[in-house]
Amino acid sequence: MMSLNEISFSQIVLNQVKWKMKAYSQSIIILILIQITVSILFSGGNITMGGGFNEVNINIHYYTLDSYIILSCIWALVIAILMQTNGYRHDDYAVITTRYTASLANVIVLFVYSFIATIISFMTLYILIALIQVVGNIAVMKEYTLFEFVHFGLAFFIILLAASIGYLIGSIFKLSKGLGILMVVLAVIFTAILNVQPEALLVNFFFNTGYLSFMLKALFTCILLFVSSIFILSRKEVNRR
Amino acid sequence: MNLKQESNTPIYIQIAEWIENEIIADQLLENGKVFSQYQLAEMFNINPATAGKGLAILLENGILYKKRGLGMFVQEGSKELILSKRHNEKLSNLAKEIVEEAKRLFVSDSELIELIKKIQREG
Amino acid sequence: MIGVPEIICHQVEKRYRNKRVLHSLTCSINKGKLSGLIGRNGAGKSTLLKLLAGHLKPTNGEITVFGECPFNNLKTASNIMFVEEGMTFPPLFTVLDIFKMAKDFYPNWQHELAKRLLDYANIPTNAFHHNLSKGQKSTFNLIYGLASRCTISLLDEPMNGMDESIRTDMYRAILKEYIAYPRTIIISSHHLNEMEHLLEEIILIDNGQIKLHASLDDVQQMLVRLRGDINLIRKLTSDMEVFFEKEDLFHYEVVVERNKIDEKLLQTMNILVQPVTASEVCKFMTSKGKGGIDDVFK
Repeated sequence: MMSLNEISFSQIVLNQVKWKMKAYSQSIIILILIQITVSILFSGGNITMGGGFNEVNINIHYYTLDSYIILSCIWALVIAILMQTNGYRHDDYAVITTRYTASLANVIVLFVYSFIATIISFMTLYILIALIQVVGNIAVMKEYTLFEFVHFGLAFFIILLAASIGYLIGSIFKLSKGLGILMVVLAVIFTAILNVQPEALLVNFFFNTGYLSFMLKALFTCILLFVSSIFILSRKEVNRR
Repeated sequence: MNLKQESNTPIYIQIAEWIENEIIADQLLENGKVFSQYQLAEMFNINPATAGKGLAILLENGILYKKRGLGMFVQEGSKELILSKRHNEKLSNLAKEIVEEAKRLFVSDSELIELIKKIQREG
Repeated sequence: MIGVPEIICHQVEKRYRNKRVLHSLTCSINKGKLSGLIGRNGAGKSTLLKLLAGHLKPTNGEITVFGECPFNNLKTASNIMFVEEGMTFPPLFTVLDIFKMAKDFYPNWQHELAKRLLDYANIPTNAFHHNLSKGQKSTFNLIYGLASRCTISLLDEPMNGMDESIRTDMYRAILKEYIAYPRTIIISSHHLNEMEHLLEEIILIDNGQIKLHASLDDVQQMLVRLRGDINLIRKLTSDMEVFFEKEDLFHYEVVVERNKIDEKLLQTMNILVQPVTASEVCKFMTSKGKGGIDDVFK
């Protein structure tokens, strides 16, 4: 009689990450396509200002990373939710898997995808600007140096936050559809009735104290959200219907 | 051989009988190796454990012997053993029938024995 | 290897929203046996297998596999393969992609064998899993399950949707794989007659409980059919449990336990003693009345 397989936790998680990245690779392509579409739409710049004086006309077009980051956030939120829907059943593939390995692998995939999304966002902007310079023969001025790690870090963590929120939402819905709907309804009522804008509180908390502190807070929040999701999902039975 | 799944004889006994037939027909020779339970399982499309039971019966009856690590082998003299066993069975079944038939026809025991002796003398 | 229990269920109960699917289910399955889990539709076969595979948690009672509870358990997940209709794979993967993935996960994965079996079944390697027909999916899932060579392989009605010729081939493939690499295999089915030749043991489940757990030989020899004169038979079987009874113009027949009768004696009374297949034994043990479907038309 053959002996039992003894495979380590990390080995299984790594395998899952490898294959889930491959399984989900089309979503990266979708992101790229969306970014290209938006960049075409915004090829005139996010904000335009103009002014004139005598025969001199100046038109200033601002190109910012914002729209691409926001797009990436929405994308990250959606794929994190979709990961857990019955269409994908990312957690229950017929390979060696447990709730913890599957959830951890999903989180790592989201980390990597957020990173890739950040790169894609930056690239889209740069390529757009480069094209404008080359094709339009227009002068470009930069407010900062072309690339700053801090900006990259900020963007990455914003996208990661979106992903972690999406994953938590997905896991709540998976736990109980009723509970998920209830929470959404409560959130809407909360903002409407109490006339308090929780977004303002959140923005205050996050963005008031500088870049590095923001990144740490964001990292901590993401870990908190992911761990909560893992915990919520850990008791769930496999339901493939 | 066609194994009968639906039979008054269990499958492992059918296997055992088949092996006995092979021995009688000299397809399996004395001190020669017999099929393993796995080979039998593949040949007859049955579970190895069932085939194993058949081999075990033959081992118990002294038709086969086991060589540690090498498998099962045909015992010397097993051909005669099988033949005589079958003859005896057949004969005793026939004898039973004669005795019962005699009873039904109200033929006494001594009359029956006389009849048999007469046939033996003639034959 | 013999006689070591690998899977133990003790008073297992499983409820789904107040519906009790399994109750007081106790059984123990030894290492390395090829067993059949037999039962009618809705008897609880799939639920039991899902519990053993660690996909579900018991509502009450205990399940141990390799001495541990299989739910959410890495050790058991690494050594149990559960083949069922609802097996999911990454969408948009081809069947070859899935095999390559399996190679990474399962240390004993038989890549060449899997490809050859796929080829035999006429499934192209670049086919998408979600595009396969029902029969092809079942065939693929079974090939996947066998090629993984996991110590415990649970096959839930693996032949569903397969046409007859490939079915026979697949049963033989299971046997050949079992011989090449012995492991614990449990096949659930409601078609015992198709596969009984492969089995070592039969586990009969009915209404969420184990009704019978015996070797194939014992089950095949368990009951007999007696045919002959109605009065004689009734007199002889008056103190026995009768599993089936049928009376028509020309015949009277009953089904009773073989060990309660004397075959030689009955033959002298002109009563036919006929065998009862394992499949019929399971049917008789789980049916409601003694007359079978004819009872409905009485």
